[in-house]
Amino acid sequence: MKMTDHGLIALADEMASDFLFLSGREVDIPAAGIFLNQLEGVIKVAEEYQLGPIKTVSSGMSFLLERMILDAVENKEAGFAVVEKGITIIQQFAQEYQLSGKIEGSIDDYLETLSKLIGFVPEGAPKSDDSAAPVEQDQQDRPHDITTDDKATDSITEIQDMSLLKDFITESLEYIDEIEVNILNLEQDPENKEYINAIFRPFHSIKGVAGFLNLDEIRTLAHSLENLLDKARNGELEVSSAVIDVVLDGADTLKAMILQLKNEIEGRQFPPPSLDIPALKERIIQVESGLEPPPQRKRVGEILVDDGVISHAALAEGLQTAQEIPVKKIGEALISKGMVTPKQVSTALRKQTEQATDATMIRVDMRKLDDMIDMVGELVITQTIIQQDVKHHISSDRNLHRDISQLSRISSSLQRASTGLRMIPIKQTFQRMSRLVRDLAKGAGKSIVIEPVGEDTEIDRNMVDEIYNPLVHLVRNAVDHGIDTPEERIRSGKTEKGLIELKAYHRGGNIVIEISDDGRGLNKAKILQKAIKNGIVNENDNLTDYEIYRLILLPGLSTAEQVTDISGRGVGMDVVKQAVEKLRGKIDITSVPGKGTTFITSFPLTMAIIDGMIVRVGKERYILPTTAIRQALRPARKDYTNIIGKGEMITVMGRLLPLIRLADLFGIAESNHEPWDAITVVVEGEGRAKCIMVDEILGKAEVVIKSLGDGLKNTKGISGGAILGDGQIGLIIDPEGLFELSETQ
Amino acid sequence: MAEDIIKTMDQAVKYISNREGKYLTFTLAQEEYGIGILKVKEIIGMMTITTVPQTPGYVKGVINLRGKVIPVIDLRLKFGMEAMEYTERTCIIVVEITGPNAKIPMGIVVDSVSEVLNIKAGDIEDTPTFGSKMDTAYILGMAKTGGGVKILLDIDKVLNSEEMGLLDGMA
Repeated sequence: MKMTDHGLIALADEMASDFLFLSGREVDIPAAGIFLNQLEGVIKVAEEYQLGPIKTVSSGMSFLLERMILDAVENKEAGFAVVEKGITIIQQFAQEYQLSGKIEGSIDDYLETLSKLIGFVPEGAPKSDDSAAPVEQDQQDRPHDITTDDKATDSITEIQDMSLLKDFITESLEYIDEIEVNILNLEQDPENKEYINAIFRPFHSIKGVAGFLNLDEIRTLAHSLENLLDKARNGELEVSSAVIDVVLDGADTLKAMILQLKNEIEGRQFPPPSLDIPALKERIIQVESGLEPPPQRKRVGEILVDDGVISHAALAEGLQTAQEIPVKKIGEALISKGMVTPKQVSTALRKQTEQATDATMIRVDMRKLDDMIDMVGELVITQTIIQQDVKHHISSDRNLHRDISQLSRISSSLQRASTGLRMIPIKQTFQRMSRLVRDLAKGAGKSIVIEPVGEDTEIDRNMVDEIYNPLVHLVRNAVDHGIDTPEERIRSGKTEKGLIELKAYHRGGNIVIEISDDGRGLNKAKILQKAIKNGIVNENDNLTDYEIYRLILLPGLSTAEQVTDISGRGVGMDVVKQAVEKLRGKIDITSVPGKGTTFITSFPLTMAIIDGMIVRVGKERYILPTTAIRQALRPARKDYTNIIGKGEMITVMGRLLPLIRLADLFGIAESNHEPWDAITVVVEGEGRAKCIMVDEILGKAEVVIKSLGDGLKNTKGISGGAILGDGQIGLIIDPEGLFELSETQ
Repeated sequence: MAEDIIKTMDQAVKYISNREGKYLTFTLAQEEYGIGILKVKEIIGMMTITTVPQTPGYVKGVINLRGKVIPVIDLRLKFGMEAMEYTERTCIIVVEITGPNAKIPMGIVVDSVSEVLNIKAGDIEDTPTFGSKMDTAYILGMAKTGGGVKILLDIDKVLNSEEMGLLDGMA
């Protein structure tokens, strides 16, 4: 075998596989670029070994592709077909040459098709008679080809390992979250084998992959935890609090090890966490001190028994009936016997499918989702434009109108469905908080049960991390200040265990999250006293309860008697309020003395969509966030004053508000010069209100916020861009930034 | 012989990393420029650009490229050349520049797009010092081709260095 051809074949094969990325309706320029470089390589090799036909074909292809990049070839599909054919020819010739040392095939037909597309015959095209010119090459033995470079192979494995490793890290961290939650469930219900299994499985998976990736420390730790749980599962070990503690510690340690690994591969240098793994293993062995098969998917009958619909005896009876001829399903048998209602059976069946569908989730890269959502947005815009065009141009074709309405229905449901893809249940956030409550309660010497309600309420993935911090603070607050000490609770006739309820539900396009405790409630007198002392309110102010409670959201009004390490340093609630408002959310408080306090927070479901008012200034359109708008008005001439040194002011309902001329600020030609001819919108931000002068209000819209990109995202006064109904971009105004801008100019 | 082949193959691979390779050429005030083809995402015709306030003059604004908002820079203005009315031939070349965290798509307005050229290493000369308004750090080299001299641009440097900092610092 000869070398030349070998290299050539490899190059040709590479091109063939790269072609897959290249071909399509449009020319992908970077892919075409790579492809062109490969062709250049082929041309060089062909030149060197005087493989005329290959050189001619490659040069022709190269030229064609260049024309296609510049959009100078009309029939792109034909173009791609010719390129594809060219690759095949090169592959054939290379193989022929390898076998016989010459190339005999004719390229005349090919060149003809090619020249039709590019308009001339490529240079170097052989006359028909010398196309078969024997290309005799030295046939002597050449040193054996050593193309497999060991190093290269190694680095490939490394790269694969790296991506495996990254996947492992992401997955394991998720597993550990799962473990944490289920442990908490198990603690409440230690007999429940399902929970044990739910903890066992993720440890098992971590162990498996860690073993595969040679992460021995992680593997052995996961393995010993798995063993421990296996015993618990088999009933050889009682699920005591010692077991739960050691498993939690184990999960923590694993998490720390995995995070350490993550830091390492990301090249960050952190001191390794001080982990006493041997001691932990020792503890596991100590805690570990006999067999039924793990429960598979539960059977309908079992679910019915678990739900308390029927007794074991009734189930046995039903099962027997089901075996009789004709064979019935257990549900049918039970219904026919009148032991259950069809509704009960369907509920049980649904539960069963839920268990089964748990496994059918897939993980998708967020960027892919975002791309898809972008494209769907564009689809809806294009669809609207087509709809308008059709309305204007063709009015008679009823079928067309009907089809277009159908298309519009489909595209809007597609849009809804695509935005829904980013939504995930709040469950995970609640679970993280449960864990936190458990830890905090221990530290504070309190015993607290946490009760999540509405865990399936969905929220945008992007919001989850954002809302976590303010919510954590509220939870800490509830543990620390809300829930009373066990002694206090018994004295006031409550159960010793405190209760914190986390409740989530949707209301009016927002997600509402309530955090309630059954503790002592807010001390009105004390809050008032402190507020008076700090000069925030006047003694004579007659405040309602609601107003008093809201005082705690002001800076410096913590009423905690003792400062703890958890909360109560006088900062806090005001910070929480700010954080919530930054997310365009709201916070409210209700409290009943002696019964407990509830913090009600509400957040938009997504940060990706904003409700806005579209305004026009000159030729430009801007979007003002509805949450910031107080009112819009056309001021009377008498309301306008120009105060020397302070600038232009408009009197709105007795208040003198500064006027911002958006056109001047942004350097746009406006259509109205006098405020009384234009519209002013009263916008509020950071506790201040200003009038923004615009030419016209075009309407209201829900728009998707898009970043202006790394270079422009910090433009003052602009928080992003939105694609408007006509496919063009309108900039979204950031009121606070705009205020600052107007003050500096 | 075998070494030769390996060398040739290596060279083929090196096209990508070296200055040698395929360039997309375009004109700007009668001058020819080139950008490495691998940097180019697509070439689109002129479209409505939304002006972004508080940005330098050469930042023309933002466009909607199939649902993505991307900034557009007028290369004439960027290089301190005289502005020109956009014509039928005016194009936006969408390039991908290497940002600090990710690749950033950006549009550059050019007078017209010319061709895709294969430029050999031997035809590329290092940048002479001009002492003119154009920062030579932007330039990869000068390519002598049949049709004259083409200025090869390091588009990352043209759009990255200052743009990012400048726009950030403006606030």
